[in-house]
Amino acid sequence: MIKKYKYYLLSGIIFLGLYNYEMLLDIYRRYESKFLLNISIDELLKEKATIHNKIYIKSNILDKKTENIENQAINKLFISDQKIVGDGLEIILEDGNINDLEEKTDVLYSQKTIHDIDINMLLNDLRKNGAEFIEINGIRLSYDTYIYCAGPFLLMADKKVPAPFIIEVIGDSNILIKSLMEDSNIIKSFINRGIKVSINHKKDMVFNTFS
Amino acid sequence: MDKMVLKLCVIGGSLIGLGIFASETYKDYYFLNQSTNKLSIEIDKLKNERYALEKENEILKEKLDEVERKIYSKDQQESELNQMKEFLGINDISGTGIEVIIEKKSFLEIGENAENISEKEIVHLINLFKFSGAKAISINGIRVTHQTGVKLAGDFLWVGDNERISLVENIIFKLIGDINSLKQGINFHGEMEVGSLSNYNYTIIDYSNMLIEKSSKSLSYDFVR
Repeated sequence: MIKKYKYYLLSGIIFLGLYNYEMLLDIYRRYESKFLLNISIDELLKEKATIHNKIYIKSNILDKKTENIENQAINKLFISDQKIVGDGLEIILEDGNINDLEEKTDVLYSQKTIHDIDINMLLNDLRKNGAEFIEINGIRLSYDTYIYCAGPFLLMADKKVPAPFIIEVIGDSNILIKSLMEDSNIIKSFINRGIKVSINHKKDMVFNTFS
Repeated sequence: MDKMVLKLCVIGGSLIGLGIFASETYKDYYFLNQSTNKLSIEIDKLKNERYALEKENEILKEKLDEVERKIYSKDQQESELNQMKEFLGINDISGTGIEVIIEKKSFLEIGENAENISEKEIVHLINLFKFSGAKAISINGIRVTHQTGVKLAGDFLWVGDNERISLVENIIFKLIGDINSLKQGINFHGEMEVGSLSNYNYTIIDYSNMLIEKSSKSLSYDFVR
């Protein structure tokens, strides 16, 4: 009888011992989990601080770059999508008419027609007298804009431009008009050839962006 | 009798021991259970904290990416701006290109009174070079910008307002652009014989890396508002 109780007693002790052991193991695991979570949170906090720092440094770089680019006149005048506004003059050129009394020869037609070299010579005259920006029929001329004859059109910036040619010029209109009317410049020869020429001061001209 | 007492003592002792053991175990159980609950709460709190931080860092990373994208875009704009400054003649420019040397033919070929090159031919050549793909042009080292005009004065040609070249000497154009395209345009029949250019020979030299210096004159935009 006593022997039996002994076994029960022993089993109870072992059970309670094992039960405690399982609980201790569970607590150990939880502590371990807490420890790992704390490490993970520390790392995340460090990462957060690093990202914050990077954002701060890079935002400063971005601000400086933005200010640097936006403050440069070249950006406003040549790159940005902004149109530019300025004062100057407008020249309108149109092929001359041939009277019924005139003999219709090739030479006469050629004289009365505006050719690419005429426009190029006029642009040269404008540039040497201080033209800052030039637009022809809404096409703003750039550093590499060429002008070539393409039958009844002028070919410029890969676009066909028909007459009349409206040449808008930003610059000192008084100086430009005075110098254009000198004998050495091409305008006089246009007038002599019977090409229709109109020159006017013009304010608030709006130039397109480069195409 | 003695054996009986001994047995009772053993049983009694065992019962007392068991009672103490059970009491201690209960205490342990209670303590451990409390610790477990406390730890569970702490772990849940930490998990929430970690989750919130992860989310916060994700948002910050997105913000950083956005700033970096904007910087990249600004870098491109800066690069475009610098390239534009080169094309406009504000800065030196280098790249593939050609040198076109224009030399007057000998008196024996063209006679003594053969006309010199004039504004008209220079204007024609500059236009031809642009049409042929020149991105930058210089005449005898003087940069031609979109504001440069040329003007003849005796034996000199003014390039812009304050620099001139002698027409008695060779005229050397430097052009930056695609070599084949430039040569095809220049060598096209008749292009180098316009006006008094027929009194001149021309030679083309290729350069894999040519430098054209910036303009000595600043671009003006006084009448732009």
